[in-house]
Amino acid sequence: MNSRQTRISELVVCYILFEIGSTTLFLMAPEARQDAWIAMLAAAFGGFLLLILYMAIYRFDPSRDLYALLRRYWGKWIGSAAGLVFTGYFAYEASRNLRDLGEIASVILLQRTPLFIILFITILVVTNTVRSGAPVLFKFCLAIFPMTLGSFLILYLLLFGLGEVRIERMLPVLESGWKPIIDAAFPEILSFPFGQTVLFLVFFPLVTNSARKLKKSMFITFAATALMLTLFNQIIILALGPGIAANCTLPLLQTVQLIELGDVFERMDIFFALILFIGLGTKLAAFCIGAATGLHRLFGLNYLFSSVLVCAAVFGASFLSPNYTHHIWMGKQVLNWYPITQIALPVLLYVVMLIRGQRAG
Amino acid sequence: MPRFIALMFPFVICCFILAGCWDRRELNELGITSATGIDWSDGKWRISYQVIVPSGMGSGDSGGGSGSSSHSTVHVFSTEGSTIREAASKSNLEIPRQLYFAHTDTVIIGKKAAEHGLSEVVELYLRSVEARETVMMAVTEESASAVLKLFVPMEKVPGDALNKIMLKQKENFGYYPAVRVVDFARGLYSDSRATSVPEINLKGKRDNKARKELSSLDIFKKTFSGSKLTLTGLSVFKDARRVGRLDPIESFGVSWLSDNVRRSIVAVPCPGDSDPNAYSTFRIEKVKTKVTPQKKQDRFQMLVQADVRGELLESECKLDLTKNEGVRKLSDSIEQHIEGIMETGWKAVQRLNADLPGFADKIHRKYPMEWKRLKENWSEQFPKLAVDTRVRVSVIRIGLSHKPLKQDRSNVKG
Amino acid sequence: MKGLGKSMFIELINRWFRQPKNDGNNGKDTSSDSQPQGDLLGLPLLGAIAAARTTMGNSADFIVKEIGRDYTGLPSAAIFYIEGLVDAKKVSETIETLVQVASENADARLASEDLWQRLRGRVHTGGTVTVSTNEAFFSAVLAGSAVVLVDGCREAFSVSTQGGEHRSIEEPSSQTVIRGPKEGFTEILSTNLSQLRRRLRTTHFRVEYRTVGRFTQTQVAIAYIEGLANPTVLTELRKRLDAIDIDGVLESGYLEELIQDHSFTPFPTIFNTERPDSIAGHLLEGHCAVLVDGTPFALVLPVTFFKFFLSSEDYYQRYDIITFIRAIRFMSFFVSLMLPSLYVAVTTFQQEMLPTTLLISLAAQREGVPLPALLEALLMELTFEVIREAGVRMPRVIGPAISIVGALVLGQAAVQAGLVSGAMVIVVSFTAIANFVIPSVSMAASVRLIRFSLMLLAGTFGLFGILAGIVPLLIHLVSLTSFGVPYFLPVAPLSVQNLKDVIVRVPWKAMRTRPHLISVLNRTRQRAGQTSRKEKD
Repeated sequence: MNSRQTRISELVVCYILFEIGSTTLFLMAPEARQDAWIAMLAAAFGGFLLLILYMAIYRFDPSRDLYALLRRYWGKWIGSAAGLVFTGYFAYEASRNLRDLGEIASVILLQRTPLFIILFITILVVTNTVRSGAPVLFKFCLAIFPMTLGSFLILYLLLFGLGEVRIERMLPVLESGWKPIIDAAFPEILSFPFGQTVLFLVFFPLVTNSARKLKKSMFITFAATALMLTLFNQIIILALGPGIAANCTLPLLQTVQLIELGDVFERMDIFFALILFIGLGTKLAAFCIGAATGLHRLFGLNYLFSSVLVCAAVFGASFLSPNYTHHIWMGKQVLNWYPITQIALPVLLYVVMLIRGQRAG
Repeated sequence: MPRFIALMFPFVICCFILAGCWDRRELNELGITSATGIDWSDGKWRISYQVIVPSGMGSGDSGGGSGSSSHSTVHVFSTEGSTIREAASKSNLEIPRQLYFAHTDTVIIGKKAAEHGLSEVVELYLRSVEARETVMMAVTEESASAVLKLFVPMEKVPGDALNKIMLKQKENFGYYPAVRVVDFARGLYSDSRATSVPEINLKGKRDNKARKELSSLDIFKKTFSGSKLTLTGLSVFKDARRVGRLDPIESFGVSWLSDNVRRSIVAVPCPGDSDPNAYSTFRIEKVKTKVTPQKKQDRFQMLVQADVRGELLESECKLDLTKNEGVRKLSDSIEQHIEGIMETGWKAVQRLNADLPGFADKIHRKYPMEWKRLKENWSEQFPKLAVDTRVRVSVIRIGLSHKPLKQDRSNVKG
Repeated sequence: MKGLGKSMFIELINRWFRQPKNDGNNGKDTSSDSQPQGDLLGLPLLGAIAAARTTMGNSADFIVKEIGRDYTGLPSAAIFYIEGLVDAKKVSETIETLVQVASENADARLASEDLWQRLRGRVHTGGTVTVSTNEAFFSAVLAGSAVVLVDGCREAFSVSTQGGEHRSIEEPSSQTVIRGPKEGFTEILSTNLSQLRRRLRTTHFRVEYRTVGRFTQTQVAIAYIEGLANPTVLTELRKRLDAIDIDGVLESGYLEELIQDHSFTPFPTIFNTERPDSIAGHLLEGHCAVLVDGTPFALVLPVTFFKFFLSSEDYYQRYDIITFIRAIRFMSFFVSLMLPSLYVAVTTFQQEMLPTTLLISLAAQREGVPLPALLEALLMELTFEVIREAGVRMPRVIGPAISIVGALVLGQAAVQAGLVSGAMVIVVSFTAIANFVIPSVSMAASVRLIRFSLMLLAGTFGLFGILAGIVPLLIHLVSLTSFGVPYFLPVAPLSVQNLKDVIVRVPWKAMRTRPHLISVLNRTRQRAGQTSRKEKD
């Protein structure tokens, strides 16, 4: 067995870090106030349906990744065009993540360093990760997973232990009715973070264990991740109060600032920013690998070259927004386009796969 | 080819380093602020900073070794500006180091600033990365800058000392809540829109001579001090503006109503005793207060149930505490006493029309439909609330003696 | 001109990385400049003696003794050996036997072959091997055997008389344990192999010989246990060893560099040790060992990252204390890698993370110190490295005195003079001490290097810089392999069974299977269901 093969545990861990990566950064469903957990669970349900779709696509043809599937079932030209759409989507997501990371680093850690330098250093590290390939990224996630998850757990334990979390803030339930919940859940929460799972269609075929085991593991992991995210999100609201939480730009970090244990454990938000970077970086690297694989498969470019190309493009694209407000605004605008790649295209693909009948080989 | 790139890498790195690091702050460039003071007069904010002087802390060596005898541990600067941050940046004109707020423990607010309104202050703390929201707040009758200049005996850094006083007080005494900026902010967002902040003032001799004494290191060489900084009352805020003040007993009552009491001491007059000076002291070890709104026709009544457990510390009452009856009499009198305190607190809050115990939130949570109706004229509805207090006291331990000494000795002749 | 410079540059890099060249001969250099010329085996005896002497350049320690006289008065046989390489007693015994046989047969006119057979039959001092080529003749002599040539015979035979002065078995200097055998390897390959044989008395213990190095002809032994070792690894190992074409191999370190998977990494992918019990333990787990003549340090492969934090003593002491000690080792690894960088990053960039009192006392110490924290750290670290190197080279007599001088006086005086702050001295000393906790010197060395780049990153970008340094490092570690085995097993890829020997050392009862991926064949170490003695009663 060599180190190029991936096992289920690695993929699954990467998925967890991927989801937790940037989701905990923002407050999900601020309009729903204390009912945010309902919104998240609703969106998770939608995400679960999407996952069933993705898994069905995978099961149907386990040996081909997304791009190979597109080319095979949609023909060379349309398939490549669709593949290009996905590549662009992945690259754009990556650039948003990069910008997020740079903004946080700028605000919390390095206030005076130019954003350009922070982004540059990050993209150098990410390029190095991307060129090593997806299996290495998964192993890296595995190595770093205990520490990351452990930090989150310790954080929440501390918050509970120090009494910052007041459960009664959950009441009254469903105060404003269902409308704000549904508004928040779809399409926002569905697309981010649950819809981004579509990226993993590129990675599933890398797993060498049985397809059925992977399916089971993915479902379990998805459920666990969705619950975790709901919990994390809700804790932020319970700790800060829905009013303050909705007003924060980085509510998790604000929450962490509340922790004051003895004299020693103050300002843990800096440490947490680093943990968040790991998650964000994982997401970033995963998206870049997805895009680079796309260029490599569709156009036959050398993988090293395409990864450098993608990373350079991502770096350039992260400068699209001149300031933070514009960046957030654009994120909201782009949400309207996400259902295309996350939902529409995969559904179409699956339908065509079924129509074209049994795959050969 | 990859090897060539790998070899070039160190040179690239060196370029980064030589180009300069933007964020570097050496430790001896920092002016670590342990307390901030906020005053306001005539539209101008006056901000004071209590900056720590490291060489006065006595832990550095580098040849000196003798310790803190020469340097004061803190130094206070004040600057003015039309906004708080503008005032802070004006400090660049006079302070040789860069102000560093990340380790500030306390923020003292002058009365005028409190009456003007603190929403700007809270906004600043929430928005800024460096300033922590876990800073403890206190209001003072005089100007904050005056308070910052005073030492608290036994502690080297006054800002830290004040922080400790407020925390300890909340844990062990319970009269005043320990309010951090984030708690204040939460109160602003809550339905009751009312918060409170402890007041800190100089007690004892308040003339200039006393102040000067407290401002110099000489105070550490004395065994006593004629004046000291003390918590004296509770400032009540509505919508971030100071509207009034509660005295200690009133604020104790409010603490009971808000479930803010952890451990405390009450001195209870003896039941049925002719001697007005006979008291028992009861230490409260565990309290749980539950406030439940109840609907009575179309009026609301707040049911306050407090479950108190504690220990008897001293007693002069003529009670035989080995018998159940005696203990029951004692606990009854303690219950009455605590209910009385709660009533006092309630009356004070009614008078000021400030929903400090957070009744609005409780009603909102339990009866959301009715709350929608009540929301608009809550300020009229609030004083009309009825409060039903029920306290249950369990005296767990009575200490090492059975009968009070007075009673015991009166039985012994000769 | 530019092309010329570039090609020179590339040539420089190539030579620096010392890749083995690939001639048509599959790397094997059969050029004759390192081996004797002319075939002396066909010459008459006196001529052969003269030719041998000439080939050896008339070296004074190359001894030729003529044995017996036949009826013509010429010597009937001759024995060749090199004085320092042979065991004198064995040689004299051999010569005595030969002389006796020759004199017994002096009268009888024996054919050369008969004499040859009789001589060979009577020699009992050591194993005898037929020598039929020129190269073999000189190889045998140079290896310490004594070669007997009979006049008129085309072939000679060599007698195994290896000996000579060498170091006796003593306690290993570099990897000491408190509990455990105190034997270490020596420079003689056969002695080392015998130490292994004594521990592994099974027919499954296999040894294969190879020779590497054109001028040194160093003997190298591959040792493994048949049925436990991974055949793929063995094949690969043999292939790589055979592909080596180099002037000389003086130490196992040469081999390590030449056969390892990746050349561009600071981390060792092959483990080395001079303890026979350690090698035996590894062989039992299914690893392969390479022993090199001339050095006590033997190589073990394939290994994972976590192997470098274990010592053989771990298995001799109780498991609870060992778990604790292993945790300390890992912690020391982190400390020695990151403590100076963390200190620089936190005190220069992210002072919020320190508790207030600590911050104040650090600030008080830095009053009056002229250098910024990063330069101070670099300076102190470099000074310490200098002291450390000096400690290694110092003559033993002066050693302790100077180390006291170096550490205490330099550090203390520097603080007193206000050049560095006290906290920095503590940080640097603790880092250095933590470095010594790592059991394997090669791993400790790699940490020493990486520490500096992390410090630079920390001094430029604070904690963000440290993260930007750790992530590529981790990526690198995760992608390394050691003869096909992923370096970061059992963490990534995850192998829960193997986790029981990484930090925690589970009691022997629970260690029932061998490390996965290292040994693929025979996985069971103990029979399942072994009860403890108590339950049997």
